[in-house]
Amino acid sequence: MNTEERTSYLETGAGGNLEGADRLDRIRSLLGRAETWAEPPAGLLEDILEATDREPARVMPAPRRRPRYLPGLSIAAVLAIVLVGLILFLDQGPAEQDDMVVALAGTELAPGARGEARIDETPAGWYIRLQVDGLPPAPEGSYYEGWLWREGEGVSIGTFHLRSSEPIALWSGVSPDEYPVVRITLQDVGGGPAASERVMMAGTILGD
Amino acid sequence: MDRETLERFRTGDETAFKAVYQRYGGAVYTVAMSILGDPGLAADATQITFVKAWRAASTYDPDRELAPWIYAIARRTAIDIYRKQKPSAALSEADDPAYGPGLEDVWEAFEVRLALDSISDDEREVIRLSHFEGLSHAEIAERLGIPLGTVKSRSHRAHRHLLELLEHLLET
Repeated sequence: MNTEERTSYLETGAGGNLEGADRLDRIRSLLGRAETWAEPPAGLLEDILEATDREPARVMPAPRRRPRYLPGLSIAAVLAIVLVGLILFLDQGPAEQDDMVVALAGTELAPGARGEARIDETPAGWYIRLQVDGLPPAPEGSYYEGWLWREGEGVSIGTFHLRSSEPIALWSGVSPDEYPVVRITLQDVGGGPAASERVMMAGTILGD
Repeated sequence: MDRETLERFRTGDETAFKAVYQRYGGAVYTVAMSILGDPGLAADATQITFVKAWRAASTYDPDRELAPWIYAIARRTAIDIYRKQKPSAALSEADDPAYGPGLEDVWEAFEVRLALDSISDDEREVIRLSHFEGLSHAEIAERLGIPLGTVKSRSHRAHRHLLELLEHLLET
């Protein structure tokens, strides 16, 4: 089908050699859907700008504190957290000390996993950038979920599956001061909103 | 979007950020609507997507295309909202948008919307009236108050432009 025939087919859905028509049909189908033409509400850009205007580049002072506890971790994982945290601390230049940094280590379910969570306070909540190495993509039918945790309870900060190398951005509406432990759990799709028992990684804010 | 705007977006320039929203806001909203199907939730997802983009702008590499970067944030944000909204008992892998068969449709919807937002208002309106409202050329002419011949030529030109912008979808 040449360009003229494809144009005509896209316009009318009829005529011409049908080779490649299936893909043109998909586009024609999308052109008939309401979501393709839906417009975001007027004023949304202003709302977004208002939210971003409130956010300075770095807003979190360095509340580096001693770990309170390290729930559910083996001694090896605890040592790994301390080691990674020490390396992160020694590597930090002055400009980076505005972030709250949580070193993450894999549990016995993911012994090769390592990473860190950098937490910035913003007027909209706490923005958490997660970098993880050694944690495999979540198997089909499951996903990872991040939590801020304290004794007996946790608050979800978002979900991800690690099936690409994109950076992971999570958000929290509760303070890491009150929920000082970061956990990554493996969740089953359709398994309900509660945190599963499968804690893959964890870490607590490390003190000076 | 030109390289200079992308560089300024990366450094947190508000004018460049507005330009990114003007270019991608509609497509992000289309992604959110495709996954969530609710205008209010889709608006929330769009707002969160751009706030995240603002926060993560310094990690964007201007040598790479912005569209997949924005799309990835939008899709993940909408899926997160979907999972939070959907009653857990009703959520199965089959209807989870992270796994469902409509995933490719969402990417294509994003691309089609970007293409529609790239052509002129006149051309876009003719395509909308034809495909979404299902009007004939004669009905479009009557609706817009322009000659039938103008509708025919405008429609053909509009579809040719759209096709040029979507060639990459036809090759995959």
